[in-house]
Amino acid sequence: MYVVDQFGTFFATLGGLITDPSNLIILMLASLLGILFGALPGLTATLGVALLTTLTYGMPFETALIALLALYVGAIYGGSYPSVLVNIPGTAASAATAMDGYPMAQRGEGGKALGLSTTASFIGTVIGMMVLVVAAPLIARVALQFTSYEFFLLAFFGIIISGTLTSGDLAIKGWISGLLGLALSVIGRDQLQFYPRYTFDLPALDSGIEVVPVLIGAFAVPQIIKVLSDNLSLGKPSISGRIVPGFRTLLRNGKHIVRSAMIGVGIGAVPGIGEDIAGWVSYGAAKNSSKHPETFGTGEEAGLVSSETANNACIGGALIPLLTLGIPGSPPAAMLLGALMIHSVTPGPMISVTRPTFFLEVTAVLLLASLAMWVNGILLARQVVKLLRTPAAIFMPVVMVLSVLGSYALGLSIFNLYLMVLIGVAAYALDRMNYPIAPLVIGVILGPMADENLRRALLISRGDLSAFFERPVSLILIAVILLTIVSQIPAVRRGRKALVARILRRTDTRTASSTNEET
Amino acid sequence: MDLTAMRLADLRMGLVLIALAAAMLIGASDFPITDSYAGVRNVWYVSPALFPLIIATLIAVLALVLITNALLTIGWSEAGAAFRTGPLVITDRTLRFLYIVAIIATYVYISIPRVDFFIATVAVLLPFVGSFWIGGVRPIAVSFALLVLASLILILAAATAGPGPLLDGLAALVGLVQFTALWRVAGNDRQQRRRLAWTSGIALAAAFILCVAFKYGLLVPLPHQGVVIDLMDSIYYGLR
Repeated sequence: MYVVDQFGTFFATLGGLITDPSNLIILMLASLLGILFGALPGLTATLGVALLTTLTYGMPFETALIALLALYVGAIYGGSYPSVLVNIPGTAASAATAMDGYPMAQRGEGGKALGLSTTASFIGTVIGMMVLVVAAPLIARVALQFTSYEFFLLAFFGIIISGTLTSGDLAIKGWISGLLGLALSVIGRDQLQFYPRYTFDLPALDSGIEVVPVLIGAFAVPQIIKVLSDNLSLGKPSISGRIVPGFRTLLRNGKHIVRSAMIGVGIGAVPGIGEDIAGWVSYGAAKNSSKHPETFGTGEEAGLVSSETANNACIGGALIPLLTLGIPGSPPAAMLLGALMIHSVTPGPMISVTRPTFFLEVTAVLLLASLAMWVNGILLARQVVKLLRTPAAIFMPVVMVLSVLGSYALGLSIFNLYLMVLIGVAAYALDRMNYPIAPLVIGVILGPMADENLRRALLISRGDLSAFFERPVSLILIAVILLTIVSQIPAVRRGRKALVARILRRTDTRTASSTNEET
Repeated sequence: MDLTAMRLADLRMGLVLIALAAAMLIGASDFPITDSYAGVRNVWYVSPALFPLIIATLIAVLALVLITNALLTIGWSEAGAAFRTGPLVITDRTLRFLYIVAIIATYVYISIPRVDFFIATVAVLLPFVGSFWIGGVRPIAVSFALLVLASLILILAAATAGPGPLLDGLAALVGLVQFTALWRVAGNDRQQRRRLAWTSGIALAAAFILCVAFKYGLLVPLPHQGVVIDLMDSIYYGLR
């Protein structure tokens, strides 16, 4: 009966959304805008969601949710256009797509590659959505049992794991980035006693540093500087051949699709890391499991399909911790968290109590967003490709103005603009030194949660730290955090590599000796 | 960046982080730890100093690890290279970087709080789009030099006359001067002149669309409303 009720609510929600023509128009436009944001280098899904947050501020919540999710889904898919056509990923999420998408385009199958990428992205989003609708209520029910101890450790774990997995150099750079985000979050009056911390007697800092200007500064300004400094250009991309959905090809690659979708959802669910890692891990898994791994990199359909399915399935995965715990699973999800809070919706365990149909609403909107993405991708790809010829010199300065307006519009504060530029230049400098930015953003978002819950937990236990070790979930989180930290110690990493090498040598020896016995 | 340059940068960054951590610790030492605040007696575990102290300590520890790793990689003898300044060489890329930061800073810190938003936006888009679109280093160098001059003029004018039609006019003038300089740089190159013509259309259109969308569509007051926005208001409300 419960399942029937849920289906009933889902279809009623879906029907309510699609019977409003303005919702459909916004859905298609936001999806197209998302594809453009994903396709144009320098513009990212995170930036798109950030800028659209301002534009949806005055809209009803359901309409805003449609616009934001449609843009998010479109942007993750949109990165495949320049990946396939000119071997330049539009977003980091589509970097793995170029490995086989571009060789396909070079042999005249650009249309086929785009069609495959469109349909694979659609399937990936739908599978991610299905996992979300099943897993989210279960996790929310468990999360309702969490107390301050667990929430503090979850916030800390999110920063540690995000720092470890997103750092291109040393893991401690990721952790430092996260701690810098936490340091920024401390500025302002504290939530428990309202004591001013690091405000330098400036009234503008009393309420702390707003999340949206920090996000826009951290993501937009470095991109503007990078794209224009490096003179990035897509040249004149064009599509060869018809754009076909490729259903038969996808049926042939069914097992790659299912595996990639599960990888995407799993990686999306880990806080802070996102679609780019999902794409590469899935590509790697497809290559390793293939009978002909040498064909990967030469235009192998399975490579393209695996990457695109995973990076879009990641969306559903990233929404799981976001909606159930209030911890974003990826940078665009972090921006979505800010947008939801602006619309007075606070994701977390209580969402299933305050808005019981929220998960079903999000699922319905995700389904519509993926359908809109598929329709736009199959029908409008050639028009989108024409727009890709717009020089970066035109659209990046306009994005700068839009970022400034976006940062200003939410709080009507010029001070936010000052901070946005400072944080943006600092983020660029950090990026040049190989510090990942995602943990910094996660730190700014999760800082208040970590601070408040730490002090609340210690208040309950009257300063007794052993209380953290008396709760099973706390203990598990502490163990995982320590394991993650210890695994990055150089001696431990060397020991692990040596152990893996020894196991592989033994396996090779056994295989060789059993082959000799057979001959 | 190659590994040695990266580790030298890590050494410098490590010292910056230690200074930041020290500043945080010194700041947090002023927060109530066991003394009263707002009539409430504190204990260490609910003190507003607790979280900043933890963060600062962790930053300091990780900074030391970063510095140690850098020294182990490059060796103590090379450590001095982190603080040696060689001859100042400004590459094309560095010039582009400096110009972009300067133009964004001028727009945000000088123009937006004081100049009519439409005028400020057109005045920034004209040289910004134009200098990058026509390509090459010379337009950027010329625009950068003029931008520095323009910023000084605007700061002086803002300090003496304050926001108003005079400052709006001056901002429009300096934007036009920078754009005119780009026409001179373009010379007789037809493609470059065509691009500059398009740039003027794009700057005006983008500024107009954004002003209208935010002010009348989203009902967001613009940062500073001057002669042009007031004129738009008169037309809009007159038509309504």
